[in-house]
Amino acid sequence: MRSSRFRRRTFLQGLGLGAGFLPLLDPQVAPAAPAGFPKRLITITWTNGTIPAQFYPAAGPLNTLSPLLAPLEPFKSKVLAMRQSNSAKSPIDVKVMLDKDQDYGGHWAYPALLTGTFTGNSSKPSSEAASIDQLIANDLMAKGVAAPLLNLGARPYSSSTTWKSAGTKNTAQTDPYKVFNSLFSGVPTTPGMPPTTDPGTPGVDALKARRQSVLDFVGAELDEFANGFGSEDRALVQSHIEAIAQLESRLAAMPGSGGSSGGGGGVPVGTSCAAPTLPGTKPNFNDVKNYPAHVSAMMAIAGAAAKCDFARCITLDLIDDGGGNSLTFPWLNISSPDYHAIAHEGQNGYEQKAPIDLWFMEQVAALVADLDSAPEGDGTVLDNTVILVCNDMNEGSNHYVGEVPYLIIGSAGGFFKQGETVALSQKVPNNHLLTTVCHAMDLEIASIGAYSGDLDSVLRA
Amino acid sequence: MSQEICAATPLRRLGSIAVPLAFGLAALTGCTTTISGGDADGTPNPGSGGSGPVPVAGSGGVSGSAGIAGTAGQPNPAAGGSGGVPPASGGTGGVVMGTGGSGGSVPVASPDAAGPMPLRHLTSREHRNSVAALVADTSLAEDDVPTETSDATFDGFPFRQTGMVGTVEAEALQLAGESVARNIAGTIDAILPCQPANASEEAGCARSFIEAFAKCAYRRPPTAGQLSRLDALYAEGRSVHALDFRGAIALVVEAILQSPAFYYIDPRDPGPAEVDPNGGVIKMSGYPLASRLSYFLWGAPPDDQLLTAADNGSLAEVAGVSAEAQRLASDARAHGMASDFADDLLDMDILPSRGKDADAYPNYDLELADAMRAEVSAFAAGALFGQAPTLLTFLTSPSSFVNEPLAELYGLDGVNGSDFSAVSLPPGERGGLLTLAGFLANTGSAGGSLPPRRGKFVYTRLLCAELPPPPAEVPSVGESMPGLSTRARFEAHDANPCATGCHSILDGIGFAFEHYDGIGAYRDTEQGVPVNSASAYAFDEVNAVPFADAIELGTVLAGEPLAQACFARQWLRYALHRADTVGDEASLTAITDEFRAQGGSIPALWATLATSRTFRYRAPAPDEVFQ
Repeated sequence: MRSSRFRRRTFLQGLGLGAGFLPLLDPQVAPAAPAGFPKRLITITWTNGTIPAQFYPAAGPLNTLSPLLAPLEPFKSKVLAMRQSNSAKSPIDVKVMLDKDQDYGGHWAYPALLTGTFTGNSSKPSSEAASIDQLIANDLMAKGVAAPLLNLGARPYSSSTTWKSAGTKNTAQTDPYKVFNSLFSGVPTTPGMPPTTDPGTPGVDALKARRQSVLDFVGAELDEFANGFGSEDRALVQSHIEAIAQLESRLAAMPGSGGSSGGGGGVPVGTSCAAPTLPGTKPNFNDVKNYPAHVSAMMAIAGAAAKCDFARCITLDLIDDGGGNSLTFPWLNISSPDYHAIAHEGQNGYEQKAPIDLWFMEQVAALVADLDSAPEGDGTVLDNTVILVCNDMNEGSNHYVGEVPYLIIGSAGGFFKQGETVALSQKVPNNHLLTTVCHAMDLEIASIGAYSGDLDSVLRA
Repeated sequence: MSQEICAATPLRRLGSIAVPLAFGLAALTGCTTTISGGDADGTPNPGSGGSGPVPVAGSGGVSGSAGIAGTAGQPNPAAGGSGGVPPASGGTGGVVMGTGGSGGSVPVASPDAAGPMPLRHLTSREHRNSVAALVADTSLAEDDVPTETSDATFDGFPFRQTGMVGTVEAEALQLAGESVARNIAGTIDAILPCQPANASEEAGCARSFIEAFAKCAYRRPPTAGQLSRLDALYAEGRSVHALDFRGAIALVVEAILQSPAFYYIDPRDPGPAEVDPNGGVIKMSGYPLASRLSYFLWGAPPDDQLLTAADNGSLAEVAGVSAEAQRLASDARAHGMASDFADDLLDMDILPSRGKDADAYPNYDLELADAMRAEVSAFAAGALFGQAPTLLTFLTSPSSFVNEPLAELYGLDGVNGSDFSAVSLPPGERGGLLTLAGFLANTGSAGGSLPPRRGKFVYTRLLCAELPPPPAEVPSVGESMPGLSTRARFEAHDANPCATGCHSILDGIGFAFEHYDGIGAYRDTEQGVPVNSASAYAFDEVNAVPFADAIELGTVLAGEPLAQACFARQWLRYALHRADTVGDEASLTAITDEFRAQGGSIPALWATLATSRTFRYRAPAPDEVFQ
C-alpha cells in the first residue's frame, strides 16, 4: 500500500517528461582562476561528535592515519589534520557558543559551524551572518559565476550549516532525483559523450523564451509587491527577488538550439564531467535502510557537480544535529539504540559508535576517490578542491562544542598543506579556520564573525 | 466579476475513488473549483494508492459510526476550569517574536492590543489546495511544491514554518506552474468565463478571464499594475510565443501561480489602512481577513461567498466574521484542518524516518508507519467533527479508524486489507490521541519505550511548558536487561542529581505510557516484570495529581486548567500561523475563558478565535509604510 502522498517520480520518468524537464545547465562563465581551473569548496557535516582518542593523528607527516581516518588511507597525502600539540584533541573551539554559555550545546551547534556566529538558544538556534559557502558564492557571483552554490542534505532535519544571511537558512536539497533533474538532465553518464538531450530539439528555444517571459513577469510583480512592507517582511520579498534573478542567470546559461548560449564563452565543462548514476527506481529515503543509498546518491551528485563545474560551493548536511529523527544503522547490524542514544552513552557506546564513525568517513572517502580520479590540469579535481569535514560537537556524551573535529582534504589549488597533521599550541575559534578557508577560495576577508584572525600561517602550504 | 469565471469542470476522473470528506465533489462555482480528496488537502490518505475509501471523518463515517462512547459520564473539562490562564511569561511557552505593538504605546496585555501578522507564503498543503481550488488540478504531489520546515525543536510554534523563497523554492514554483499549465491545456475552457466564437472575441474574453481569475488567485481585486502586466503577458503569449488563445491563457495561469500575490498571504489592506485609535492596531479589511479565515479553517483560499463577504463589507463586523467562520467550520473542507493540526502537533511527519529495531519489532515497516500517521489524522477529524467535539473527546475517545496492519497491532479482529474502517479501540487499553500508535511509535525509541520523550511531548505540546537546556555531562541510562523494566532504568537515572531537573518532570508524565512499547503495541509485562504505568504530576507545582495510565492521563489533562489553556494557545498559534506574542494575551485569555465556559467545545473555540481581536486586527510591523 502506498498512498499517492508518497508518490515519487522515478528518474527515468523524470527524464521522459518532455520540455518542462529540460536541464537547467549551468556552464559557468567565470573568469578563469589563476591556475586556469575553478576552485571548489565542499563541506560535509554530520553529528554526534567523534571519539577523540581514535580521531587525531600524531603531529607531523601523515604516515600513519588514526583509526577513524583509516578510510582515507589511499589519499593520506592529500589530507590535512589539526590537533593540539600536547594532546590528541581538536584545537578548534566553536568559541562563539562557549562565550554564550552554550558549552554543551552540541544539539544546536550547526548554525555556528560555517558561520562562526550563533544566536538563540535550544528553542531557536540561528546564525547572525551568512555561512562561508554563501559568502564565497556571493563573491563568485560578483565575479560572474552563474550559480555557484549547491546545498545538499540527506537528513538535515530542522537545522542547517548553511545560512543565506542572519537568521535565514539555505534550504538543503534532500532529493537527489530532483537535483539530478535540475542539474544533470541530458548530461551523459559517460564523460565525453554528447548530451542525451539534443539541444537542437524543437521546443528548447520556445521553453527558454517562455520562461524568460514568466520570470520577467514575476520579477515585476515582486518589485511592486515589495512596497510598503516593514523590513522583516521586505527581506522575504527581497530573497524571492534574488532567487528570480538566479533563475534568470541560469536560464541565460541554458543551451539553446544554436548550442551554448551562455554568457559568452567561459570555462568549458570539465573533461571528467558525467551525470551521476542513481538507482533506476527511487528508494524510499524515509526508510533508514536506504540511508546508505541516500548518502551515496548525494555524494555522487556533489562529485559530479564539482567535476562538471556546475557548482563551486557545495554543502552536504548528512544528518541533523539533535538526533531527532532516530537514525539507526541496520546495515552495520546496529538497529538499536539509535545514533543519538549511542552517542550519549559515551565510552560505553564506543563499540557501536566507532563503526558508525568509520562508515561516515568511508562515505567521505568515496567522494574523495571520485574527485581524485578526475584529471584536471596537472593534477585532479580534488587538487583544486577543499573538502572541509565538520562535526557539531566534541564527543557524544558531553555534547561539548569546544574542541570540535574539523578535517581538511584537498589543497584548493595548492593553498593548503597536504599529508600532514598540524599541531597548534593553543586553541583557536573556528572563525579562524573559516577565514582561512575563505582565503583558500580567493575570498580575501579579514575575519569571519567577531573573532578576527586566521590560520593561514599554519595551514597554508 | 462573473460568478462563473473561475469555475472549472473537474479534470480528473475520480473513478471509483470514494471521497467522503473534505474537498469532495464540491460545487463548481466562482473561485472554488475543488475536486481533490484528502490527499491534496495534505491529509494523509490511508487509502491504497487512491483506490480505497478515505476514512477521514466522512460525514457519515464518524458521527454515524461508533460514536463517542467514552464521553458519557466523564468529567466536563469546564468544571475544572476556574483557574486563571497562565501568563505567557511564566515559563509556559510564551515565545515572544516581533514587537507586538506599535511603538510601545499599548500596554502589552491590553484588550486593545493585537499581535502582528508577518508576511508568509503558502504552506505546501495550502499551495496544493489553492491550485486545486483555482484550476481543479490535483496532480501536484507534496514534493512537487516548495516545502516548509516542520521544526520539531521549536515548541513555541510546533506547526509548519514557512521560510524564505530561495532558488530551490523558486525553481519548484516554476516547475509546478509549468506542470499545471500543461495539465490544464486541454481542458482550459473549464476555467474560462466565455468561449470566444471568433478571433475578434478573444481579446475581450481574455480580459474578462484575467480580471476574474486574478481576483480569485490573489484573493483580492487585482491592482491596475497587476492587470496591465497580465494583459501584457497574454499579448506576449499571442505574439512573441505564437500561442493560440487558450495557450496564452495557460501561460497567464502559469505566471499567476508564481506571482507573489498568489504565493504569499498578504496582511496588508488593499485600501488605506484603518488604524484603531484604541491600541494603534490595524483593523484588517475584508480581503486579508477572508484569507486569514479560509487558510485557518480550510487551508484553502476563500470561496465566492467569503470573497463576497469581503466585497460587501460584512467582515467589518463581528457578526459577519462569526457567520462566515461558522459556515466554513461546518463545511466538510474544515475536516482537513483537524487532521493537519493533529499531524503537526504530534510531528507525525517524522515518524516514517524513525529507525526501529527490526529484531524487536519484526512487523514494523513503512506501511505500518504510514497507517499510523493516517490514523492520527482520521482520529482527529473524527473527534473534532463528531458528536461531542471537545478536548475531552480528543484526549479520551475510543473511536478511531484502522486498517488490517494497525488492527493486528491493536489486537482488533474483523478489519481486513489496507482500507480503513471505523472501530472502537480496545477498552482499558486505549482511548484518546495519546494512546494512538502513531504518537507512541513516534515518541518511542528504536528498540523500546522512551518515557522522557513521551513526557516531553505532553509537557511542551499539551502544557505549553518549556524545558531548560539539558545539563552538561548527563549520565547515560542503564542498559536494558531481563528483569529490569524501562521504568526501573529511568528511575535509577532520574535519581542522579544532574538528571533530576528534567527527568523528574518528563518521566513523571512519561511513565503513564509504559503500557506501550516502542511502536505502540500494548503490553502488560516488560522484561518479565509487570508494567507499572501509575504516576502523578503536579500541574500546579504543588499538588500531585495521580493517574493510573495514559487513558486516565487523557481525562486528567482534559480537566486540567493548564492543559485547557495550552490547547487554546496551540489553536491560536495554528490559526495565526505564528508563535504567540504578548499582543495576543488579552485575546487568548478571553478565548480560553470562553473555551471553558463552552465545556471545552472545540468548534466554539474556533469561532471565538476567529472573532477575537488578535485575529481581526493586527499590530503594524515596526517600519511598515501604510498605503
